Amino acid sequence: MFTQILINSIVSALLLSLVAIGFNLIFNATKVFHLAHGAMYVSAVYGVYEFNCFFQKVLPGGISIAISVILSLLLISILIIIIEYLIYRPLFQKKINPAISLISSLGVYLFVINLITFLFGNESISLDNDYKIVVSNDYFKLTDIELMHLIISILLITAVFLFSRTKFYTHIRAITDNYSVAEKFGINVQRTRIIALIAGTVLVGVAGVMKGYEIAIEPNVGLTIVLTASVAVIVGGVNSLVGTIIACFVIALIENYSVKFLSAQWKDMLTYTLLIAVLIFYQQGLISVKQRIETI
Amino acid sequence: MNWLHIFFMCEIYVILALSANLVSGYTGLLSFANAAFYGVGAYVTTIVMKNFGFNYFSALLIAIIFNVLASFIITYFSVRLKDLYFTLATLAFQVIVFSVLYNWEKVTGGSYGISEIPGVKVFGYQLSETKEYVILGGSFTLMVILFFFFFQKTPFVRLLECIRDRELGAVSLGKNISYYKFICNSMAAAFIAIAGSLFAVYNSYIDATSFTLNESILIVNMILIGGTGNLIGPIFGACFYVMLPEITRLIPIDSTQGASLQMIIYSLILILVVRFKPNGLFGKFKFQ
Amino acid sequence: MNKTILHIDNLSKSFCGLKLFDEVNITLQQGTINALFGSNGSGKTTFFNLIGGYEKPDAGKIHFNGLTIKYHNEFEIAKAGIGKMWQEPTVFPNHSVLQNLLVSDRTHPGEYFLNYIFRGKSIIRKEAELKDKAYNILRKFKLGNKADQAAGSLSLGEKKLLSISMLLMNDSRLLLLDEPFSSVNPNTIERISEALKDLKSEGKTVFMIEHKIKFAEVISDNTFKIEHFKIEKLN
Repeated sequence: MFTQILINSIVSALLLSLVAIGFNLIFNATKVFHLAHGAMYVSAVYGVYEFNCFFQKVLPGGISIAISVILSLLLISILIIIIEYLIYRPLFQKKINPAISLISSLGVYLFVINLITFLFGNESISLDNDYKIVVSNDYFKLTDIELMHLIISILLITAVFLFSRTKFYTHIRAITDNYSVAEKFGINVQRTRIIALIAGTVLVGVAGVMKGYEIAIEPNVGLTIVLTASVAVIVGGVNSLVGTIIACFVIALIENYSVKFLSAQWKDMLTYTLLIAVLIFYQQGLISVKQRIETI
Repeated sequence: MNWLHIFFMCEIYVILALSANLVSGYTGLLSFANAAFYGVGAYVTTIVMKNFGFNYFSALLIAIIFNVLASFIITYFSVRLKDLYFTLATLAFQVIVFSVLYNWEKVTGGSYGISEIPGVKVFGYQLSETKEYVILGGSFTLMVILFFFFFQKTPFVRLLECIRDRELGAVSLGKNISYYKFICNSMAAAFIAIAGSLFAVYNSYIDATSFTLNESILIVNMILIGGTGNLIGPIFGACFYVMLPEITRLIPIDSTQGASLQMIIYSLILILVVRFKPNGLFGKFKFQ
Repeated sequence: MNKTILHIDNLSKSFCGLKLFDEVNITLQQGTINALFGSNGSGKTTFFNLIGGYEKPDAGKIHFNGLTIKYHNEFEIAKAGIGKMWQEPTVFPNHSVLQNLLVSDRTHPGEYFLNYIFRGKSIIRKEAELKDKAYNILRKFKLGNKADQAAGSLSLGEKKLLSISMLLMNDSRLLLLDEPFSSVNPNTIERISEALKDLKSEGKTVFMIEHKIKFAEVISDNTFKIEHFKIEKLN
């Protein structure tokens, strides 16, 4: 039984990692607390669902899904580019306070989620109801969907690590630190932002689509997922991808074990208590006098 | 359209918006914990009245004290944490409080809430009509507005505004910033308790779903659109957001769609205001 | 004889492994103007941050007015009477010059919430006093005609004057000034020099970091130099 929970935790941790890594990249590159990330997650699922409904009529099942996924990821990529040009970049150029960019991102989230609810209703949708158990032993069982999650997540995370060795990633880290200096070194800040935004959005889109195969998704889960991912990023360290992933595992373990042993409703509470504990005790969130002087 | 009801809700939200303005408008720190205090104020009033038989005004006093004590956590956050992290901590606080209110069945009734909340007796006269509650609410709201009106002109607020302008400047003049944050957070919590208690006795039923993160976001929106740092901004913002659903109700579509249409309009307004008028329509300060 | 207002006792500080000061000893007398010279990066700003309580020394003690400085809260050190002006003067940009001064007073009962309930009259009285005091200072520093102008719109030189006058309003005994004469025109240099001499005549002590050695030397009673991790008194 414990192993089953462990396996479930690993699967959900990996999925959460995709969302969290995406959030991490975007937060580092744009300094926006990108709550709209959750809207991208939900949009991807709805996109696949609706495109599939349409294409299913003319194309065989597998191809229909494949095209739907590609179109859906394309759609959310275009969406995030629009958001960047209309909202994030102008606010960045005005050197706005991070709390304000959080609010604007929240506004985008609310807009997209409610647009989806307006157009498609707020009942949950699911991409597939069937599952087969593919691995079964004395310790745990694994469905084909979970196996797919494992494989795709691990592939994507590996891809992210390869990406983190490229110059694009160094550019992202450079503009996090000090974008005007980075510019003088020839780094194209605008392009780096777009790369990070698209990469992050595609990651969260894939995560969303995969989740849609596992359980039913309704529009409002977006906020919960992005907040959980952001807790992982903060707990694991904004500057560290590895830390973020480890934090995802910690959170997934806490959530899965607490669902088993406490009641499901308290699960959220534990994650947020962890966030507060980390904010209070961990250096990153604290005011330091040096920083105050440096911001004169 | 039940105008009396709308008016009452405006009264409550004006108090909430002015309180949120006290915290966010003067300290410049955006807080998402408002609905949590609103809920705690409502629940404490309710529990004290129903389980301990206190009358409304005593229950109100107890709710105020409780809220002020609870606000010490927020004060602690505002002293220890930087802008964005403060906001996140208040968000986490809001969700945690909601979880407790929603799940602690023994005390709060869980998702069933608490019903049959006793009404208000003023000098022995039992208030029963909506009109009478509107007057009760109005008296409190008027008191709060008058308080802020005079408060704005004091040297205390002059210093608050300077702290908001350049905190380091105030520190180098020997001002104890933590004290001012403490006063702002505590006062705001006290006023929010009033709003919560009014809601509880007016509605005679409360449950946690009135006190969610979305509610906090709504309150933040009110001060954002109206502007901060003065009286008109929050008052306008509160009335605007109370009236908005009534206006969208006029459009002939079904209720779920209506609800999401309302949210679409309101999120659009939010995006536009933040993008083009960061200090709100009437506000004095930008969130800089 | 003037009493000692600042005594620095075996102060040592390293920064990221690089040594800045090694057992520095300085004494300043009350009512004097003192200047500190040193090349860029030699640690002058850090030194002032140490005195002002914005940074903690590795070793040694700082005694101000008979008290030993403890590093808990920066505002307490300012409250004890050490005022600081940074290179970028800290004024409140969105408030008027007058408001900047009114806020600078250290002992206003109106800044404590409970006083509004119990001691309302003292607040009203203090407000009136404050306005007089503020206008006097403005006149002295020749900023009177700018009383209602937003502090952010002043020139750098005027901001420095405002900053110094705010410290005067705050009744700071020891003023730490970081490059008061930099980036200002000759006319303002004159006004700032006058202001510093005024401060001296009121018994305040000035300690400034300056690159414009000639100007500083003219008005200073004592000059110091940071060299080889020590601070030496010149002349």
